[in-house]
Amino acid sequence: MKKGAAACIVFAAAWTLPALCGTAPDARGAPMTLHTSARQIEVTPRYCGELVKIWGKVPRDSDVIVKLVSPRETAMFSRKGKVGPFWLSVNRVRFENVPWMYKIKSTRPLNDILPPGLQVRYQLGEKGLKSSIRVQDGLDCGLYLNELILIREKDRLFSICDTGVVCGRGEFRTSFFWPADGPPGRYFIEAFVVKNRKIVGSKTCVIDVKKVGMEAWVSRLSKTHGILYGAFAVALAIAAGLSASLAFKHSRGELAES
Amino acid sequence: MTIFLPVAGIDINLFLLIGVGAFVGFVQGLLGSGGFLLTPLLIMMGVNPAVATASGINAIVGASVSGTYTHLKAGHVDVKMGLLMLAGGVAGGGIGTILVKILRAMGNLDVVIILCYVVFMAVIGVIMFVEGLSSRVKGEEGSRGSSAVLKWMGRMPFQMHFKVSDVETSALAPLFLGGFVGILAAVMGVGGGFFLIPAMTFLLDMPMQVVVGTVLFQMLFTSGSVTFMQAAVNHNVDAILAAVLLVGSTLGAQMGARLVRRLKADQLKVAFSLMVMAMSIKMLNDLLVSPAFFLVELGARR
Repeated sequence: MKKGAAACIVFAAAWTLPALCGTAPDARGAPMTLHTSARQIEVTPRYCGELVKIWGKVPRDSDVIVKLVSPRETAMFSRKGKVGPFWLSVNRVRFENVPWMYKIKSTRPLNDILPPGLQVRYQLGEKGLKSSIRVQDGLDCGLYLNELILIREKDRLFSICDTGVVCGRGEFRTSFFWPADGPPGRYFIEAFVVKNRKIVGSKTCVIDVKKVGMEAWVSRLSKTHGILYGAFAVALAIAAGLSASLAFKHSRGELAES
Repeated sequence: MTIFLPVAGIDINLFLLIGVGAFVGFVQGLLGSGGFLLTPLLIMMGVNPAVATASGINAIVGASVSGTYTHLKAGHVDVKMGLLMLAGGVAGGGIGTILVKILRAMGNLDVVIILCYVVFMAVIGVIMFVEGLSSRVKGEEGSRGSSAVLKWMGRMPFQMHFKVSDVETSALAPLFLGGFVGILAAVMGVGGGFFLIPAMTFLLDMPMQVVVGTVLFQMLFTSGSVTFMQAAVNHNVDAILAAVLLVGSTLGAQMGARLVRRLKADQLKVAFSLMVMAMSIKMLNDLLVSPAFFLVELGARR
């Protein structure tokens, strides 16, 4: 009985949680909702990234911009330069206020639906993203920002897309992919309703990416208790080595002679 | 089926990973060396070089434990020699670990690791190639120490007697040999047997059986302490990656050891040496071509 009741509660919670994202009408009274297929992404040993679906209601005949962004932080890079025949890191470059993930999709190209001033103000699109990041003084801003964005795009952490949101009959839907090597943390999904080149409504929703179980334990231990983790790593290797060689009785440790 | 590696922070095909471990173990079982391929293969699969070296050395702990036990029981370990080497190994491992920390902060660790492997694999490849071609000729004269080298070793300070090996030599020799492989263990993630076994037969004139036992003994404890130091200082040991590799390599080593009598090892050695040289050239080429990005992110976000 108890089990059944618990399952019921979980079931109910699963239904109500997305709804909590926001059904309240925006300031103008136009109905707007924002739902996501997951509130939390769990990183387990089987984790290989996750596609999160996003949908909601918006006033008819409006455009929609959906942005996925992580908290911002300082990012350090080193610049490669040619030293003799080799490419080595020659100096450091500091970026401030960089999100580790930034993805944006919209119903139509941003420039067609929103003036540049508003793109910058709401940190939307390439213009908005670039203007929000600070590059270390004395460097060619444009060059370094382009490189930063290219690197993050290669890692599938940034994506700036002019389309990708489907909208019709007052409903929109889109999706974002979390790459498996995207770091755990708190992410924000923001949806903006655009009408007549103005933002007329917005909703925000939080998605947490968390390592759970063994993944969480191992990575937390390795970062915070290096000494303890070292002992664990040695013990695990000894146990694995012994049990593997016990499985083959005639093992003489050939591998080790490398 | 993929597995997410918690410290490396990437998802990777589990069977591919076991396969790489099995291949390295197989070559090791068949030819007697090849463990040094593990780290470059991991790097080529997309594992961060710092994580690949530290996890590689972690796997060696497990790979040398049963062999050490067997040799200890058989009395083939010169414990006095082994402990001196271990002292050098821990010191060298400590220096190597700090070197890794400094190079990583500079952003040049990857280049240094890859460059070490380029040189190292080129040398090993050439040696194996020559060995494979000329092995039918050799055999009349053992490769034990020449008298000139032994005389020179005899003039070094701190001479002492090693009972199990039945040799008289300077205490500095095992200290320095251990120290050198300790640095290699931290920077490159290799056990160092390929270097120690010929060095100890040649420089110290030790009997082969005792060399193998003693090398395994010091390798177990040196790799253990390097794993420990890397985990404590650089946080780059992926124990899960190491455990998966161990399962694969034990499997492969068994198969290699069983097939060793049925296959023509000389020809395999030549083929393998060509592969090692090709890998060395590929890695060198990767260092020389202009990088896709002129910026490299420092430090992990996860």
